[in-house]
Formats: sequence, structure tokens, C-alpha cells
Amino acid sequence: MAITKEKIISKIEVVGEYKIIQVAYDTIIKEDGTEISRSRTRNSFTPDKDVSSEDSEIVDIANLIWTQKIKDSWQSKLDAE
Amino acid sequence: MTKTTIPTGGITADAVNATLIADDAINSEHYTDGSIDTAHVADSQITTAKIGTLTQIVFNATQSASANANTLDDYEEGTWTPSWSAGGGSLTGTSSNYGKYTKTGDTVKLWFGAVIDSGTASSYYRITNAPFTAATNGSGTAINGETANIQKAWWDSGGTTVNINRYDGTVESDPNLKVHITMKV
Repeated sequence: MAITKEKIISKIEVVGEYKIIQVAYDTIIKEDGTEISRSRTRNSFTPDKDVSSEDSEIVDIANLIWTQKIKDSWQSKLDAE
Repeated sequence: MTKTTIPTGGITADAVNATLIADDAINSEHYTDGSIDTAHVADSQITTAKIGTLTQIVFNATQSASANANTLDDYEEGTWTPSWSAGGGSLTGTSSNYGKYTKTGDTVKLWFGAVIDSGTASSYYRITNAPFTAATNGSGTAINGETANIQKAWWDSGGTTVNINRYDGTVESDPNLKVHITMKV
């Protein structure tokens, strides 16, 4: 009987004016290759975050969509709050 | 009971139109998982039907968003790890950090908290990574488990930031914050 555990990115969403990246991860437990358990965790990344240590998919998306204009706009929102 | 396999196309729509199917005539003995899918039941073919005791409803992992006000199009529950910071100074650290959420349609309930070593924070504590982006401004309450004092929590639309402090705009030292809020997303 082999029990394995893997964590995958199940969903990446880019949301709203400030291009916030929402990520859903699934942790999957398998017994002899058959899934017996799955649980969901999430995280979100705003344009001021350093995502360089995250999965390459997230890094690539952030580099693509977080333009300086977006970063400046987000910072202005934070300053106004 | 003898089971008979009906070949594909063996019963046409016309053959069962207006035919009364009695309660319990179709049950788990007759259908295996996956044997009724979107290819077999057209939209509007189940309309005013009464649904009996269900064991589970499983939504697609990828939401199929509906603009219909009467349609429930998503459900999800899970965890996340809140990232804490502070206004008017900086935190020394946190422990016992936790975050759980349940999303039903466009409404998300968040339960999160931490024991905070408040450092030089003076105006608010903040998480910066709520799992969903708020669609509206909002507010709620939190409690400091150390003092049992109520705190306020608030957030702005378009972000994933939730701020917590006392009603006078200051913070309590080294709180054990417990927050439960409902957010429109």
C-alpha cells in the first residue's frame, strides 16, 4: 500500500482593477494511485507583494500583468486607506 | 430484481413524454455514478421537481459563474495562512496564526486570527492576503481573546486587506485576535 501526497495549483484567477492574483491549491492524498482525500488552501497576492519565491506560474503571471501603472495605482489605494 | 440494460437511444424523448414516474421509481439501484450527466438531461427538463434527501452536492472546481440572481453557482471551503502587518509601526511577530473560509455563491465567510506580538503598532493590525478580493467596502467585528474587548474590522472594495483595531482608532497590546467576517466577493 503506497500513500502519496501532492500539492497542486488548481486555480489561478486575476481579479479586479488592481489585478490581484488569487491562487487555490489542492493537497491530494492517494492510496495506490487512487485519490482518497483532497483539501483546498488559498492565497492571494497584491501588486506590492514579492512573489519571486512562489511557483513559476504565479511569477510569470505577475510579471505579465503587474505593470508599473498597476503597482502605482495599488499603492495609491493603500495610501488613501 | 432483474436488471435490464437499455441500449443507447433505446428510450426516446417521445416515449416518456408526459409519463408519470412514481416516487422512488428511479433510485441509486438504477443509476450508477455518472450515468446521468449534462448530455442526458437538458436544461429546463427538471423544473419544479422535488429533490429528496441528498447526501452531497458537488460543484465544479472551476466556477461557472451565473448572472441569474436565483442561481447558486459556487461552493468552496478551505484554509489559508493570513499575512499580518501593522499600521503606525511594525509587528514583532505572530503565533497561532490560522485562517479558514467558506464561499457560497458571491459571499465568503472568513474566520482568522493570531496571537500578535504588537511591537510598535499603534493604529491598526492588518492582514494583506484575504483569499478573495472584496467586491464592496465592508465592516465587521473581532475580539481580543486576552481582554475580551470587541474590536472593529473593516475592508475596502477591490482589495484583500482587512484592518482591525479598537473603536477609538488605536490598538491593544499583544492581542489574541479572533475575527469572523462576511465579505461580498
